[in-house]
Amino acid sequence: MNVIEVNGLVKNYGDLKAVDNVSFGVEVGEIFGILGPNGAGKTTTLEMIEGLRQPDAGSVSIKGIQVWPDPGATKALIGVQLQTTALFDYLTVREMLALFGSFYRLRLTREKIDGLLDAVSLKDKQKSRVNELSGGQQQRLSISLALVNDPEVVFLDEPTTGLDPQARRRLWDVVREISSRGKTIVLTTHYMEEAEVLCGRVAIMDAGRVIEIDTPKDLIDGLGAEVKITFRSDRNLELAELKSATGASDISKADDGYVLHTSDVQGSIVGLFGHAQKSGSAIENLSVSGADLEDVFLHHTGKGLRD
Amino acid sequence: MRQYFDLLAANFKMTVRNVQALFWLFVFPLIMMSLFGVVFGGGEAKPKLGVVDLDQTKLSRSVSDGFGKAKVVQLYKITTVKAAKDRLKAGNLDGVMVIRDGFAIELGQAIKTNEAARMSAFAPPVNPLRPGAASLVSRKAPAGKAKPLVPAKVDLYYDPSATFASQVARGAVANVLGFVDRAAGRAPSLIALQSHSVRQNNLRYIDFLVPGIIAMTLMNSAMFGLAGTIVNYRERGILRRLKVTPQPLTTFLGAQITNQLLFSILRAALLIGVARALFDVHVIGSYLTLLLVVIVGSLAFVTVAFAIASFSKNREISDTLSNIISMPMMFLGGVLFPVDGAPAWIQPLIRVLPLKYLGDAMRGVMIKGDSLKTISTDLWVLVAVTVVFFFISLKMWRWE
Repeated sequence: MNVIEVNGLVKNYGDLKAVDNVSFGVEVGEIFGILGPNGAGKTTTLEMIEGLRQPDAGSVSIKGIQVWPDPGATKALIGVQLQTTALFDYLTVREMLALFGSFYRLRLTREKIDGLLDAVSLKDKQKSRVNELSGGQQQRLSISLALVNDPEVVFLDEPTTGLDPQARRRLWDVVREISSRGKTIVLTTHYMEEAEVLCGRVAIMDAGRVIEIDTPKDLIDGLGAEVKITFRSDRNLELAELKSATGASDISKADDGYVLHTSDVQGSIVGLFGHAQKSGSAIENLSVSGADLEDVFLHHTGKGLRD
Repeated sequence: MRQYFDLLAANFKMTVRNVQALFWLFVFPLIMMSLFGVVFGGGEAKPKLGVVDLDQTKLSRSVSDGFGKAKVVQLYKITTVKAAKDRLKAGNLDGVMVIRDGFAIELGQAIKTNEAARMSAFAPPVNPLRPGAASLVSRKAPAGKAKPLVPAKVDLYYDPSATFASQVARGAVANVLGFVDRAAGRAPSLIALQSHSVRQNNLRYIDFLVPGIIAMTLMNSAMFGLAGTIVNYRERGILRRLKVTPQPLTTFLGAQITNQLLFSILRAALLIGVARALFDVHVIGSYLTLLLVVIVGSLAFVTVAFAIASFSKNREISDTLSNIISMPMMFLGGVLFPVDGAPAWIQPLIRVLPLKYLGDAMRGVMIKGDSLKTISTDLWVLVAVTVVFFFISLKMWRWE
């Protein structure tokens, strides 16, 4: 059963089609990810579902209730964590939770606040002021604020952007914990490993469009039995020549090296070294790995997620 | 309603915990007031009492000399009533006492009448406890039926609305005359003190300054505090975060405004209290009227602040705008110095500054004791400012 139905959403900013005919459904209890590079339209899509930004066309419903034109009715059903951590300075963690509770006309009990703090493991910071928290702690507080009204759906907009790897992993645990409490979660990210690790299903977005929606595993399997070979070279290699020499399905130049996809690992590696010998260049840092969501994105758009 | 109070409580906490804001809200205006008061105010010495002795008798001289000994006032002997009044009006004196011609005779008559009344009632004659003014006149009681007692008259001129000093001067005069009275044998008053009010033209600088400083803080706390806060909330996405909750914006802003008013009132009370303790500045008018002026003035600048916040993309812009708007008012709004004497070509500009009207209303109530009716024009101008800027900010309001 779908808790969210998104149909043909469109949002234009002048000539720019920020969101271009986006449709998908989110099932009850799943963690649904929207993956894409910056500017793909992830946040705009999310904001139209949350009731923050009115779509130019299309419809959104949450639990069968239309969000537009009056988003008031769905506000109580959702919990939102925005991209910017919107917190008041000079209030303690506990006070923030109590205040946000009052925004929903709720008087949060001690136990309820304790439960929220446990969910995001901020119990030991409950008396700290917001400006004394680290970035990761602020982000976790921000997520707990999205839970004060016991919402059906929780929206997390790039929850781990700007966090160090350790804080990011900690936040993943928090997301899993919330999911285990039976909440439906919709999150956006531009980290493919985040989508892969957390999400039941992922919508891949680029340039305002949804390219594909599926589980991370099926998305990757959809690429075929391809593997990824990455390497560096001391000389500039001609991509077209390299492709014919290695028999790769596609090849691209990444930050400081080359990435090629192939279903014939042995043939491609032999071909690669043959080409290197002929052109008098040295191949370094060669690695062979299975495909991931990054490759799915690359396959569909011809560019990397972080370009 | 409960959400409103929850928010107000949260706002109150945030304001109290913001040390930097507290400095600008409370400490800075106090320092400013004290510095200006000390540097330009001049130390207030003893009340200056002018004495005009038209009687020129031994008795009248002893009365006026009594003040010199009392040491609560500084005594200035002046020969003519007109000269004394002029000096009073100019503010060089805090009060003028005039001993009328014939004072000694009148007092003698009064005492005789008093004694006669006592004698006829078989009262024992009164011996003055010490040689005072009364012992200088004959105490022989005349025979005959009792005449009505006519007290000797002394005139006192002072400005009732003015400074503490003039009140002290008045008290001192009443006290010394009372002593003369008592020495002469208690009973009905033998000397009538007739008070005359004289409007002093000059006020001390500090009397002028304190209402101005309060008006200025009402403006600044709204323009820099509130506008900055709203812009900051918008920049940091707090307004958008609020928008995805069922909390109405009106409740949120209502709590902000109430918090602003609350601190404006607290600050005005503190400034008045300190001004009173350090500089003897007194509120002549009604405190209730003053409270109304504080609220109306605050609201006017709150709406100006909202307009600035709606117009400004970020904190830098809002602070710059606040500066552009508040700076001319600081100097031309009659806060730190009077502007009524400013050149004619600049007067039209002064007349459009809301702070001028707030300052005038505040000053009217505080140092002239103006009634609500007297300052109503100033208040209506401020109400008009509120309405205009309310609609401007409503039209230009943005969440992000």
